Amino acid sequence: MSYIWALVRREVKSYFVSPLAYTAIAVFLVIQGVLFAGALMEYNRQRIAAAQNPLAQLPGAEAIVRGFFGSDVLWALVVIVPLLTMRLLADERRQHTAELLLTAPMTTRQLVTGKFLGSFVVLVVMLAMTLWMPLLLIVWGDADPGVIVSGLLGALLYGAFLLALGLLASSLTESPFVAAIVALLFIAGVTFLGIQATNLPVIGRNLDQFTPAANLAELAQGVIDTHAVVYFVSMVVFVLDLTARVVDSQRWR
Amino acid sequence: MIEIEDLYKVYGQVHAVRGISFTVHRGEILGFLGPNGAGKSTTMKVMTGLTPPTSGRVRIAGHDVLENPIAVRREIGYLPEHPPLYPEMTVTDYLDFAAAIRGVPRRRRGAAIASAVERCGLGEVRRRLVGNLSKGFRQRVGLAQAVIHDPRLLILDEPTVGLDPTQVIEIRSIVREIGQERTVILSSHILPEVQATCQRVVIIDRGRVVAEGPIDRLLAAGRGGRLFVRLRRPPERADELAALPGVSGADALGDGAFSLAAPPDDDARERLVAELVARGWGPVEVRPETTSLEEVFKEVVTTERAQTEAVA
Repeated sequence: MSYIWALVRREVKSYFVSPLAYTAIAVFLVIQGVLFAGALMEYNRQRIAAAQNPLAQLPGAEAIVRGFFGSDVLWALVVIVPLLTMRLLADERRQHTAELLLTAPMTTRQLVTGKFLGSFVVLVVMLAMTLWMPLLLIVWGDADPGVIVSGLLGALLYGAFLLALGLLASSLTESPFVAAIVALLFIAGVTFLGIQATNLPVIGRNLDQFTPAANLAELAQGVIDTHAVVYFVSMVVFVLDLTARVVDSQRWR
Repeated sequence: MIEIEDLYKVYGQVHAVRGISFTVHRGEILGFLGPNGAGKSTTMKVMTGLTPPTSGRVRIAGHDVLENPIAVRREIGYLPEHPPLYPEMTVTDYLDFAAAIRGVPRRRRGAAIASAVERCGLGEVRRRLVGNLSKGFRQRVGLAQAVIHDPRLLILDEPTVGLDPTQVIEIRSIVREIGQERTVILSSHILPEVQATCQRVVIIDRGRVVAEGPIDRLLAAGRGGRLFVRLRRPPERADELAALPGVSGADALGDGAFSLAAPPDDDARERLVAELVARGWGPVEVRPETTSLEEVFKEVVTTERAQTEAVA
């Protein structure tokens, strides 16, 4: 456990002494901010339209929160996660520090877990910095705090899954640039193939259970469903295990 | 401390190590010599558990590297060919991290860092970023990392490569000091290096052990007991020198210089010099021919290669 903690501490420090974490967080905040502002304007337009029509129902502010943690986060993370994960393992090999880690008395799983958690801390910081946006809707609107909590949980779980995929990509190469591209392919593949698969006739509806987008959407709706939580947690564990196997297999070469 | 039995390591088509066996005893400083590409780094990587052997057994402090890799890694400190440094960390932070992942408990880390810093002479740079240090200091940080957890066995892969002569001397003295209480294995293709720090050497070439033994014995086995003499008025033929009492052979090196196979004791040498003077040959220079490890090494490697080629 202390090994993992040491790895996490080093990883987080190293993120915040390089411009990388700041750049990634800045880009994330810009994307989220623009999408949030767009959603707010759309919401206002609908309220004004509704006010002029006595028969229409006033839309609730939850709709914005749902969009914020559902589709907005999904888009922003697809772009940001490869930037956060590209160096995690690729750089260790490139600058020969992998030898330090691989000759330390810890297991490869501990190593991979430490790396993963290090990047997860950055994700938490990043999401925390966007929290004021939905909170505005509670203070000045009528948004339901429960939806924010479940939406945030969804964003964290989905983000964790993408980070694990990015870490796997980073284990496959020595070049952070290649790692970023591969991570983008993995993440985009998993996300968009998932969305496309649900459009298939007959089996599409059942496939829905297995796509990250659908599970994220469920949490973003305000339903903390164990199905979605178990789905993301087991995907993370599976991908991290795969990564540990890749790292171990490289010892043989 | 280290037992290697018939180690083979094959990378794809490349047979990097082909049947190496040797042992390293507790408290010994062993020099591991060989030309570049002989298989030194590969053998060391197998010892650290970084890469598994293709066949053969490697045991460190009684633990097999394949069966019990974590126990093996607890015993060793390792300085790879490229020191594994994080440029964005300060020296102290880096050593703290190294100590933590080597399992040094938190309350003992401060003392461990202080002692490594002091032993490796890093006091003046300990707050600086590793990436901004000179090559010599980086090497020392690498060494500090290897000793931070006070391992019983140190594996140093070419610890002085690329350093300037002063830095080489500093690293050597650090290694010698560390070697007083611990087992050290140190690889090099530079012989004076090993001559200066090690008691025993293993020489490998093309993945095989070609010579092994205490340094003095290897040196003596080379061309021990020869004298170099330079004469102002040399005799016409070298045979006349060879006929002198106590001399069993003489080679003319040209320009009045000869190499004599003479007995090693001082009395005989004194008589020999008196004889040279008495005959009026005018000795101006007489000294024992020192065999450097370099020559032993060259000799061993070339004869071994000739033999394997003859067999093939």
